[in-house]
Amino acid sequence: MAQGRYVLAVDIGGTFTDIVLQGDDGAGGRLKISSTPPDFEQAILRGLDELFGTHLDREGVTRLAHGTTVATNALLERRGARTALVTTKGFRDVLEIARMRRPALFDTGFEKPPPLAPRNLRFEIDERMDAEGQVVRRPQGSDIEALAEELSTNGVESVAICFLHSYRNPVNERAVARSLRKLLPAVPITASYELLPELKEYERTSTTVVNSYIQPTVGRYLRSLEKGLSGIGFDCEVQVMQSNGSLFGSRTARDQPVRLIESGPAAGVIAARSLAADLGEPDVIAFDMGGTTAKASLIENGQAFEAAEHEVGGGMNQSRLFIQGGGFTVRIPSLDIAEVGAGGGSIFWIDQGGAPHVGPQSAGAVPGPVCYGAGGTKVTVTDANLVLGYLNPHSIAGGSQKLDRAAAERAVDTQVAAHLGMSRLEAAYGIHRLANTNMSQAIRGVSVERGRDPRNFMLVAFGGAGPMHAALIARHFEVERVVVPASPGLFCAIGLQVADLRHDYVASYELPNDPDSEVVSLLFEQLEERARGFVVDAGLPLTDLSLERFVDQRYRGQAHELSVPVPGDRVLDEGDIHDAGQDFHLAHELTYGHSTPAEPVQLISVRLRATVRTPKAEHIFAMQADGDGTTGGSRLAFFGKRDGVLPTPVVSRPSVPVDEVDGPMIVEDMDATTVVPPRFAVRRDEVGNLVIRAGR
Amino acid sequence: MVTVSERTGATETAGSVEVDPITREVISNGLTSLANEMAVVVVRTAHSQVVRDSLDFSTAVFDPQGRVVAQGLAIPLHLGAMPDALSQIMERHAGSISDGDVFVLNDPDEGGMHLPDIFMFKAVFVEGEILGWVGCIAHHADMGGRVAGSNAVDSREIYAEGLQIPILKLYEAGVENQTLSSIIAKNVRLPAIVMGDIRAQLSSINVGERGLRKLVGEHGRDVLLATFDDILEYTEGIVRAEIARLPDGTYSFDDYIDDDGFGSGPIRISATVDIEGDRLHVDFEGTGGQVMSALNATTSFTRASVYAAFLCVTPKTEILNNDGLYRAITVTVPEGSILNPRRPAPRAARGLTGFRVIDAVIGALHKAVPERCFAAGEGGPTMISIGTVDPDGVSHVFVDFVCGGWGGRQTQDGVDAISPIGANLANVPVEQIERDYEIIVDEYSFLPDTGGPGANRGCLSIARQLRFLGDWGVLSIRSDRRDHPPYGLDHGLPGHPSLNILNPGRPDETLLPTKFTRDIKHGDVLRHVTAGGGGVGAPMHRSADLIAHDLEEGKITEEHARTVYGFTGTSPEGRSSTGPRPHA
Repeated sequence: MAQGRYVLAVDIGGTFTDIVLQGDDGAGGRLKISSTPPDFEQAILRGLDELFGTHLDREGVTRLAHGTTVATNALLERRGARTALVTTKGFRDVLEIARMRRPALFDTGFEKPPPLAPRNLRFEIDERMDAEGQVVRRPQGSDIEALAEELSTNGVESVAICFLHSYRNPVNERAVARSLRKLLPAVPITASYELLPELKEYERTSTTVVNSYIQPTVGRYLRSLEKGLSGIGFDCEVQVMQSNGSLFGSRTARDQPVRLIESGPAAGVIAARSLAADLGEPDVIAFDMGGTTAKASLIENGQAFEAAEHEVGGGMNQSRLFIQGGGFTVRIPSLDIAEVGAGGGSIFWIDQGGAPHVGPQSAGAVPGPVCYGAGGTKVTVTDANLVLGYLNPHSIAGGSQKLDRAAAERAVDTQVAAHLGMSRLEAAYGIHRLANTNMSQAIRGVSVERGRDPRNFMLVAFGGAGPMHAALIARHFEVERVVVPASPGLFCAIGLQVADLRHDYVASYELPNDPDSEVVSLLFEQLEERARGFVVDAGLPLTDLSLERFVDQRYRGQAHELSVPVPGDRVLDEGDIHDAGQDFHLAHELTYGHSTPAEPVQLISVRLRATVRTPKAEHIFAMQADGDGTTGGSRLAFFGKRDGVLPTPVVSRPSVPVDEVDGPMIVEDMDATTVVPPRFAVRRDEVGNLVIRAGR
Repeated sequence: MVTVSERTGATETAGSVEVDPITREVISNGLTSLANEMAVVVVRTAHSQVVRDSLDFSTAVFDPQGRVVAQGLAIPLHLGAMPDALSQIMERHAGSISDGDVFVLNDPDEGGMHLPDIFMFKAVFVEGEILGWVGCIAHHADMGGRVAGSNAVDSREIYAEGLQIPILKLYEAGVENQTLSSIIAKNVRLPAIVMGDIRAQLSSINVGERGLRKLVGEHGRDVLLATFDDILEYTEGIVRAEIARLPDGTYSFDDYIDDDGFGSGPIRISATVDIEGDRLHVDFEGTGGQVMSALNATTSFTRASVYAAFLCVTPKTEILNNDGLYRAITVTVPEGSILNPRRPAPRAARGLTGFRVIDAVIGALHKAVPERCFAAGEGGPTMISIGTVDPDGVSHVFVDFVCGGWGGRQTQDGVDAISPIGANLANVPVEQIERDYEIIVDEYSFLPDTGGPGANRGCLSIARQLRFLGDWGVLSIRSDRRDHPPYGLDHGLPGHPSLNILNPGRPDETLLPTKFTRDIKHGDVLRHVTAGGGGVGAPMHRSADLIAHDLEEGKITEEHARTVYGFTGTSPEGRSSTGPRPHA
C-alpha cells in the first residue's frame, strides 16, 4: 500500500463512532461502528485496527482530529468531579442564585439544576477588587492556608476560583490560585481570569465551575486515548474539536475542557462551510437532521455564526438571546446552532383539544419507530416517511435495519388517519409537513431572527434524515438550491478532517471614554503574545499562524455587541477606530434593519483570532465507491394532494445523472435517503454531491 | 423566484372556508414564532436595562377585530393587557386608519396600565384592507415626573408621575410625528435610552408587519382569517375543558398589602372564584378602596393577574396566550377600588398590587384544587431606585428589581432564587452595577432559617446590600410583605418578613418602611431582605433527609432544625428517612 501521509478524523456520538481516514495521495477509508460507552476510546482503537489492519502504515498518520461528547456527557449525566468554588466574601450564593429566570412561564414544577459546586463546598475569601481594578483588600495568607486545609478535609477533587472584578485585575485571584496549586498539587485549579476575563460574575463563575467539574473526567479520557493509540502503534498529535468549530491541542483541551462542550455538532457546520467554499457558495444554511433533533446554522461570506454564550442541559431553545435558566450557563464562543426536537424518531401525538403535534418526544433508537419492529408502538416521522414511499420498504442502512411497512401503515391508520378524518397517505403527509414546520423553527432561528433572508442562502442537508426533508423545507423558505453531500451520515467526521486549529482571545476594554487607539493596540499586542505561546505549545511553526483582529461594539445602553474586523498588520490609529465605528453602524443595519449613526458607540472588548490552517485533502468530499451504480427500479410515493401518488424512480447515487433531471426521484445511499419531490430537479456534480433545484 | 404554493389546505364550502388541522397548526406555529421574533428584535435593539435584562415588554399579533391571536415571550402580567388599548384605538380612529400609521399611548385611563408602559400598535394592510394588527408594550426607564424612574409609590396624583400620552399617531402614513417625539424626549430624564427603546418597539412592529404579510402571501387571505377564528376557538375549548375539570363551587380568599406608604394600614385584596361547569368568574367585591398612593391598578391589569394565576394551576402547554383564553374567564372589579380607581389616581406602583391579586386568586383556587396550588412566594420583586444628577446636569437612574423565590409546593420545596410567577425578571450583575453607578454591592446571598417552615419549605430570603458612593441621591423603594408575610398552606407556616435597613450595624442603624422616597448621602448603606416563601404542610412532616440536606448546605441552622422541625442531631427521631414528600 502507498506510503502516504494520513490524517485521521474520529467523531464519537452516543450511538456511533465514525472514522474517516484521508491520505494526501487521495487514499483513505471510512468506517461507522457502534460506540463503546463508557470507555469510548475502545471503539476508536478497535475501529483503527480494523481500518489499518496490517497493510497501512500507522506511522504515516500525522494527526488525529477528534470530536467527542465526553465533556457534555460528564456534565449532563452529572458524573463530574467533587467540585469546590472559592469566591469573594458576601457572594457565596452567586452561582446558585444565577440570573433568576426560568425557561417556561407557568411550569410550577420547575427545578433549577442543582449547582455543580454545592453550597457546603462554596467558600468565601475576605478579599475585594473594585470595578476600576484597584485592590480594596488583598487575600490573607493565613486564610488561604485554612482554606486549603478545608478543601482537602472535604475531599474536594477540583477547584474553581472566581472573584469579583478579576476580569479587570486578576492579582487577587492569581495569588489564591498559585497558593492553592502549591498547597494542593494533586487538585486541578481553574481560575476564572485564565478562562474568561469578562464582566458579569454569574456567567464567569458558572463557566469556571463547569470547567472544574468536567476537568478530571476529560483529562482521564484523553490520557487513556493517547496511551491506547501509542499502544497500537499510532504516535500522532491528538487534536480536539472545540465548540467554536476549530481544533486545539489535547494539552489545552485538558486544561480548558469547557471549550469542547459543543464539540459534537460543530464539526458538521465546518464540513458544510468547507463544502460551500469548494462549490463557490459563500452563503449557506447547514441543516442536520438525525433521529431525535434537527440542527441548523448559518454561514455567511464563508464564516459560520458564533454565539458568545449558551446553556447546557437546559433543553432545546429556539433563541439563545433570552436567558433561559434551565441549564448550566457556559460563556464560551460556540457555533450558533439552533436545535429543535424533530428527528426521524419524533413521535406523533394529538392533544386534548384535538390538535396534532410531532415531537419533541422521540422513540430514540430503542424502542424506535413502529416499523423497526423493536417494540415501538407510537407513530414516528420515520413511519410516516415509510408509508409515503420515501424509505425503502424492506430495509435501510445497507440492509442492516429491516423495516416493516405493513406495521407502519396500520399504526398511521389507527393513530392518525382515524382521528383526523384523513386518508392514510394524507395523514402520513401531514406528519411529514408538521415535522418540517418544527424544523423550520431551527432555520428561522438562525436566519430570519438574525435579520438574514433565507432566500439568499443555499441549503446543505445532511445527517440520516436531513436529505429526506430538505427539499420541502427549502420550498417553505423559498430557498432555491439544496446540496446533499456524499456520505451525509459521516459528514461530521469529514468536518474534522477539514477543520483548522484556532484559538480566540478576548480582553475587555474598560475605559469609560472614547476608545484610545494606543490602548487598543496595546491590548492586541498582549493577546498576540499569548497566541504565539499557544502555537509553540502545540508544536507548530509560527509561520503557519495567522492573526485576525476584531473589536466588539454596541450603542451606549445596549447589552449585545457586534464584532467588526480592524486592520491586523500595524499599530492602530484614530482613523482605524473611527472606521470601526462606521462599520458597526453598517453591521447593525444589516443585522437589525436599522442603525443610528448619531448615537455614540461603545467599544467593549478587543478580540483576537489565532488560526493555524491545516492542509486539506483534495478529494475529501468526493463520492466513495460505495454505490454499485445500479438503479432500484421505481416505487409509488405520495407528494401531497396536488401531486398525489406518483411512480418514482429509485436510484443509487452514482446513477443520478450529471445533467439535471426532473423529480420525483429517490436516491438511496448507504447512510441516508434523499427525496427529490415533483417540481424539483436534481443532478449529480463532478464530486458526487446531489444538487436539488426548486422550480417548475 | 419560486412561488410558494402549498395552499392546498383550504376547501371552499358554501362561502365559508374550512381549514384542515395540519394547515391550522402550521399557521398557528407561524404566528407564535412571529410574535417571538418580534420579541427577539426588542431584546437585541433595546437600550435600557429594564427592557433588555429584565425583559419588561411584550409583543403580540392581533386579528382584524383586535383580538390577540399570538403573544410573544411575554411577561405574565401583560397577558391580555393589550386588547383594551387596541379596542380604544379602533373605536376612536374608526375610518381614519391608514397604512403606515403607528399608534402610541400610555394613559391608564385610555387603555394603558401605568405611565412607564408605552403601548405601540400598527395595522397591517394588505391590498388596502386591514388583515391584522401588531403591537408591542415596553416599560421605559423613565417617563419624567417627580421621582427618577417614574416608579415611586408615594405620589398622590397621576400628574406627579410623568408624561401622559393619550392615543396619538407617532407615525402618520409612514411619516414621523416629530412634535410628539420631541415632547417625549424633552420630558424624560434619560432621553437617549427612552428614544432608543421606542425605536426598538418600532423595529419590532415593523418586523411583525412584514411577517404577517408573508403569512397572507403563503396561505391566502381567506385561509388566514378563517384560521384566526379556529385558533381562538381551539384555545377557548381547551381552557373551558380545563375549567370543567375543576370542582364547581364558590371559593374566597383574602390577602393583604401591608399599607399604601401613607399609613393607610392593611389593604385587602379579596378574590372570590366562582366555578360552574366550564365557566370561571372572579369577583373582587370586598377589595379595599382606591388608595392615595400609586398602588392603584387597572381592570386590564387585574384581569392579566387572574389569567396568570389560572395558568399557574392549569399549566397546559397547549394553552396559547390568545383571546380564546381571555374570553373563557370573566372578572368583575368594583369601581372605586384599588383595582379600578377613578382619575386622577396615581398608578406607577400597580405591579405590586398585581402580584397580590395572583396570591389571592391562588389562595382561593387552593380551596378548589389544593393539590395544584403552592404557598405564597416572596410577594413580588422589590423595586429599588436611586436617582442622581451629575454636576453637568445629566440624570442617572439606577433601578434594581430584587426577586426572592417561590413558596413551598405540594410535592417540592419552593425554588430558592427565582423570579416570581407573575414575571420572569433577570437580576442585574453586581459587576455591571459597580461599573455603571456610584454603588458598591456588599452582599448578595441567601439567609438561613428564613424559608417558611413546612413539609415542603418556602424559598429562603435573599439579602441585597448596597453602599451609595455618590454625593447625593434620591432613594425610592417599593416593597411589601413585612406585616403580612407570605402565607403557608395546609399547616405550613409563613416565610420570614421582608426588611429595609439603613446603615446596618452602625450607630445610626434604622429600620425603614416598606414604601418610601428619601434622600441618601455618600456612604449610606441599604440592606434589603426579601421575604421568605410560605411552607406547605406541617413542619413535623418534613422528611429527615430534606432537613439533613438543608443543614449540610447551611440553609437552616441546627437550632432552627431543632426548634422548628423537632430535629435533633443526625438521628431522625422516628422520622422515616425517605419519607414521602407529599405532605398529605
